[in-house]
Amino acid sequence: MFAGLVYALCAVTALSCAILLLRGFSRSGARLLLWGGLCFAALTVNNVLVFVDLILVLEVNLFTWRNAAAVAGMGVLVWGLIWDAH
Amino acid sequence: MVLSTIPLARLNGPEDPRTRAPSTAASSSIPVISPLASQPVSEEVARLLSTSIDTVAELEILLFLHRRPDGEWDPNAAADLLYLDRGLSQKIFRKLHTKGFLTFRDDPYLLYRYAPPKDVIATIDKLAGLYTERRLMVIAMVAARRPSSVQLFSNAFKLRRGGR
Amino acid sequence: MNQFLLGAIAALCLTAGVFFFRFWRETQDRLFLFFSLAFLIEGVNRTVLALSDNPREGDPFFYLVRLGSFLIILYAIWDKNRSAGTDAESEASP
Repeated sequence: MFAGLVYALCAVTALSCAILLLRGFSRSGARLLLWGGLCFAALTVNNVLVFVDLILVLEVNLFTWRNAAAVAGMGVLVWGLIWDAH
Repeated sequence: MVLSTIPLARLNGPEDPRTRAPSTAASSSIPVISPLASQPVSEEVARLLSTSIDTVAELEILLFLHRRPDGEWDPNAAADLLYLDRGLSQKIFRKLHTKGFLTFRDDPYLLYRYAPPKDVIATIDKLAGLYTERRLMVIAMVAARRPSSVQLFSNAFKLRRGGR
Repeated sequence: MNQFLLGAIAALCLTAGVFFFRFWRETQDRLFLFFSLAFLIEGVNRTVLALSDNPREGDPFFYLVRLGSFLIILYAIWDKNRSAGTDAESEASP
């Protein structure tokens, strides 16, 4: 129960970061912010799926999906850090 | 020792927003403004300005130390002499050290010394000369720098837009 | 497959943490120090998760550590806005 609350908070935090970075990208056009925003969006999905997995008992195990979201998000961020951070 | 005539008003606060160029997604090079067509700005100076100097305050401190290469400086003392905020001065000294312009020692307390790498010394000399002759142009070059994507990343987390 | 994903996430988190650490050194902007810490902690967290026989994010250790790293990010954002306009961050061009 508390675990679910924690992941919900993490999801909200990640969503806030995503919104701030994507807003920054729309204003400045700096691609690093796009990659960062997408990363936090994917981390939001990751945290939401963990929350769903823990709180709602579904027949389908979301393990692979939530990890796919996290790896996609982090991959995009690291890509952006390598190529678009100056 | 005589302090050179630094226009202190320029150091007293955030840069005049009117001198800030609007940020665009275009190239990240700075414009080389050369009103005196007879003497273009040398490439190394322009590159030094665009890669290593982020603000006018940094430039002022770097050139302040450049004029006193034998001295060891405490950031607070420099701040008081240049009428800068002490916290800002400490931050700039740390930045300049990270960029390789200064060395420091810790005892008896934190002191910085001007010590740029050999290949940069001549460029800074030229920059100092250029700043003396064409101060406004150099300031315009620094002010026209577009913020780095890293700085924009950090600025994105400012909730209110006032900082722009 | 899942083992691979967990390992990849951990490695990417740690990498991001190192990048943010570098940005902090270069810009002296505290936000990057906090982000670096958050991602490094989360990277270690996910490493332990990846190495455990039965990775369960419902375990208190994992979600408390993740809570910690996200609280650090929240603090970084608060800190950024608390000092915005009064210290050197505003001395850089926007």
